Amino acid sequence: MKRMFCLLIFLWVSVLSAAGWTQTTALTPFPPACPGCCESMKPYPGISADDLMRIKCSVKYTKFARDYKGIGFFKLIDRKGFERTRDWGRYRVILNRESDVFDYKDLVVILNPQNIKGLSVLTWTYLDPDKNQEVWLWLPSLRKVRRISQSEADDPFMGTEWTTEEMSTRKWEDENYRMVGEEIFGGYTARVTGKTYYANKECYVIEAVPKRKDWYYSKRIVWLDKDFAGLVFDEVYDPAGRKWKTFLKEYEVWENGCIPQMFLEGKDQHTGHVTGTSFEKEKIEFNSGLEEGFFTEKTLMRSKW
Amino acid sequence: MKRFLLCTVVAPVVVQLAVVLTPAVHASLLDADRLTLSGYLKNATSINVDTADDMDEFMKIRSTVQLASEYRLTDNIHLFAILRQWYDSAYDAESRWRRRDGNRKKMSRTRQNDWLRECYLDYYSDSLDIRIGKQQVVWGTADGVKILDIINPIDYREFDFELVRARDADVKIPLWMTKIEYSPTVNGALQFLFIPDYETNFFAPAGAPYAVRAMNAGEDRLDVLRNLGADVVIRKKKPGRSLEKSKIGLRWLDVINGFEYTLNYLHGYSYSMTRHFQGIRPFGVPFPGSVASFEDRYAQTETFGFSFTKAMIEGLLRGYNFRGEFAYIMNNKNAYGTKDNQVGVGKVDSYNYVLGVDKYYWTNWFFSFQLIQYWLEREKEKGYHYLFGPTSDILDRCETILSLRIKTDFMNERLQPSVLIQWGDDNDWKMNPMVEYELRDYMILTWGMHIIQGHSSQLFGQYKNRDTMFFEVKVGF
Repeated sequence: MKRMFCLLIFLWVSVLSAAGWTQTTALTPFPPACPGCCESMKPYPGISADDLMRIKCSVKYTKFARDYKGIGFFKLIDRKGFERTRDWGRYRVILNRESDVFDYKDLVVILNPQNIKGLSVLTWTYLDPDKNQEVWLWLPSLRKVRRISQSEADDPFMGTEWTTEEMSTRKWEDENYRMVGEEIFGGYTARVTGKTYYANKECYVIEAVPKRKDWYYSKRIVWLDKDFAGLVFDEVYDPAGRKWKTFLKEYEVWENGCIPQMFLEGKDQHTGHVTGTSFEKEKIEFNSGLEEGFFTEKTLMRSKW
Repeated sequence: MKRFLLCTVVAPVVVQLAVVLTPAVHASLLDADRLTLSGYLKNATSINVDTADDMDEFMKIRSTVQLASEYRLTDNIHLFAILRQWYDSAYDAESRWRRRDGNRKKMSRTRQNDWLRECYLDYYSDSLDIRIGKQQVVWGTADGVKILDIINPIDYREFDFELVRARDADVKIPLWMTKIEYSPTVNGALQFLFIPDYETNFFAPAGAPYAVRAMNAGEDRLDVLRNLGADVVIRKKKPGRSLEKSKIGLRWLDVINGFEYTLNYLHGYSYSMTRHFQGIRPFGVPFPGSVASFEDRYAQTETFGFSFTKAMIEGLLRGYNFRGEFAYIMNNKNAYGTKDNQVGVGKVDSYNYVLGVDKYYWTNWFFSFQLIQYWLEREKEKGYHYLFGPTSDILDRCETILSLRIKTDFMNERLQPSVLIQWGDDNDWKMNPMVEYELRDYMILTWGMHIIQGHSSQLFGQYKNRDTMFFEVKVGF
């Protein structure tokens, strides 16, 4: 009888797990309030570190929307204050609801300065976490599309503080998570804008440790906004356990449920190099109708620069 | 021809503008938000540093100004143009390069209408893209060599010294054409090219710093005739620009499970000439008053090709990118004879291919290796070997080149060193180290060298006395 009871419990839990019930009751996206609105997920009382990081990944890659467009700039500032600026545009279509192969496709286009104007990077990200991205480059000096292998994950993206992994390839499955607690974030004063962000903000604090051994960082301490679980601050520690880089991300939560990133700053504590990225609010669009066909070589070949 | 160009190229552009877009033009003609301007000023200076030659001479002192503009008539209809002018004062500084009277004129400034680099109208839609006007089109995946990338002729004024620096866009000669790209599926695209325009490849004339060996040797032989008193007449039999002589290109591109491939077809005239000896009149021997006649002809060829790339995204080979391209050229013409002595011109098919593999190591060290082979259908014609065009040396049935490019960056990508090493199977080689430094957002400094070894009758070896150091300053706006 006891064995029968255990078997029934086991079967019941298995069925529920297979249906995704145990984790999706809380993580089901809020239905869009209007056509074109975003389907964001929200933290709930007692939420686990794993689920919080799932929501964080969804916010990072704008998975609450069907597509995204944004135009902004990034500034690269070295220890001595020497500045370089790049204008860029970013486009993304989220495919995971309609495709069983691709998670999303992404296009980054450099708009300025002249020497790299037109440089574009097209990436396709698979749902399968074991697969690298497919990457194509439009090289203005060759007027040519060049297929490349995905950069090494620890390679800085275009000279910024963000590595390729931090910028676009890190997946939820890449790290183990541990809840540190709920704390008040003291605020961060950005070097690029001089503004203080998120002073006295209630946050979840999570420790994220890479599953990969001997990786380029040993752990991250991430601060997630308690309202929507977006990552507002991130401390990265090098393999020796010293604090190495910090990242700030400023979000806006729009009434339609969309949560765009407005300003980001990364700082390398070892070199003093800082990257600030800002997006123009009026040039951010969600659910504008971008199609999968836009994220192809044909679009790269339209480039004139 | 002008009338033909007017009908086939200019008229459609004007008609589209006038009929289809009139309201848009009126609404937006003075809209600065729709206009994008960009350009640069550049000085590129090269010095011969070959110790054997014991000459520190200027090979190039070229100053360039380029202005590019894009005007967005509507969201999916754009006008684009690039204007470029340059002047090379090496021909003022070095009398040595003025071996022929015309060299300074031919080589020191922008040729004829080349100041208009590109000028076209773009139309985009979900499934159809059309580009009409003067433009460049690129095929293939190879790096620094032209196997399938044969739509536009090349300015070989500096031989391949600019190509190996990945500056293809600067050395291609744009042509007036119509390009139509139709996408029946998400990733599949059929490209159709109609090219009524024709230009030949441009090779530096004899005596110029980067003149190929065959050009210098050919001119020497003609000088022998001239010294004997004969008039030398060379008739250039270019195909010209007409509907029936237009180039037609087709390309199918698709990506299936991450495997990207193209199938290519090109019909048209070759951009390289073969020189045919017509005879010496009268009596067949040169003497004062006789006329030695030659004719430069351009073969009509059919090219069939394919290319592929496959990035390994999982498994043991994760991170490797494999690529290749193949071209079979039918009805090509090639000179034959003995070394430095052309006997005739034969029709011979050729098939060329390149296989490449790329990979990042140690975070940001990019390695790219290529195997390149040029095959002739047969080695001999009428008992003579075929000759290699640029050097007039004996051409093997198979010529092989290996290349390796290594590239990395430092200082948050401000400093970007790279090196390209090319090795030919006749044991000649070329090495091209280069460093780019971003001094300011809009100012790039470049330093580099071309170091060459080999026999003077080989592809790279012909420049063995042309070891070069170059500096470049580019200010963008």
